[in-house]
Amino acid sequence: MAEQQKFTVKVSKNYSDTERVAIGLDIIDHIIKRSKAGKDKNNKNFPGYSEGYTDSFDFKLAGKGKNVNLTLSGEMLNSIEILETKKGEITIGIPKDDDFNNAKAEGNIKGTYGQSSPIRGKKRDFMGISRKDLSSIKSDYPINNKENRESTANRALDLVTTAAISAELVEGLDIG
Amino acid sequence: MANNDIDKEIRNAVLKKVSTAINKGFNQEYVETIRDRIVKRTQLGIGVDPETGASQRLKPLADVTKKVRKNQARVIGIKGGGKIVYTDGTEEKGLSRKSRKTRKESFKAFFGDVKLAKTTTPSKSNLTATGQLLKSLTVIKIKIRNAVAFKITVADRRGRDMFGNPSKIGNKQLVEYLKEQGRTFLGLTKSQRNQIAKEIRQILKKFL
Repeated sequence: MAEQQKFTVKVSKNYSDTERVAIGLDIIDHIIKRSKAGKDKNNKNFPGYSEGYTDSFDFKLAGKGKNVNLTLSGEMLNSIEILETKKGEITIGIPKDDDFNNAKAEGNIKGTYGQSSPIRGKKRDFMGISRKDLSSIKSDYPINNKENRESTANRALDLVTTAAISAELVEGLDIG
Repeated sequence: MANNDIDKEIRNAVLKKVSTAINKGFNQEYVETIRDRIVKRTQLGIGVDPETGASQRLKPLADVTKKVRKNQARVIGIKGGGKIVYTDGTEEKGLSRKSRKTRKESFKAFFGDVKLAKTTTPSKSNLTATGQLLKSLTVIKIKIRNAVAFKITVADRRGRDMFGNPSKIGNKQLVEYLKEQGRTFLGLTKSQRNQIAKEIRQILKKFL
């Protein structure tokens, strides 16, 4: 069983649960966008792919280029969810029971890729967010005065509601 | 976060603001993209747990199947006692009665080289031999009163199998057979659902 990959960020204790969920969704969107741009959680470039990987059948089948973006099937990055929110905290990561994606993520984060020990210089730690990027996201949710608190609450509610509507639309897709 | 946690009135108010966006964004072209993702995911060897929606590696191919796909062997008969004899002289022993019956039906007399699609290799378990099954995934538009819905399904017709013989079953039956074998692909993994939900959310965000 692969280790669960997750991290926790601290936020103001004055945020409501809805606001924490909205911030959490924005953090996930940021992680995916940043990883696809080839940057790790500290905004450093990911190390390049190995020749063995670029020569592999899956690499060619997926139509990948040399830009490292942690995306083959898209399963791993899109498995990231809000795991928990509580006063002052948001925990984000891959659900514990998702062994497939936790294993993939662990391989990237530790640089192991299925080996028993890490491959030197091949860590690709995407599971997290820099302080600067987190501050930038939180700045979209100001609560420093009454007016800001109200507009932040409304904004968060709209976002969380659209997330719920989106999830509903996906469930309604008929496949089979 | 459950839907019933959100006030119905708020939900309907947001829905009213974004319904045009939903109708424009959630169209045939987009659903075809989703279909293509199911195909690509399967070709990469990833199936879906039908109960949980979890991503899972498709079960590996049996050694005998790999040998057949590599043109290294053919099953040309079954000796008494559950043995299969290959043309390279090796034998596979100890088959269960169920396996014997299944293999007898699926490995009838055939000739000629196996022709695999370019999207697979002899050892790769990705539900691909000729490529017909995944190619058959299609998007159907359904009109229900004033609304439009989409369905992703398989078209039933199949051409020749990988040995060049006319197929004896259709794609729908093949999907069921694969499902019974624990090789489910026709559905969305949780990751894919998350991705689609995120994309829709990003479209709707612009209308808030």
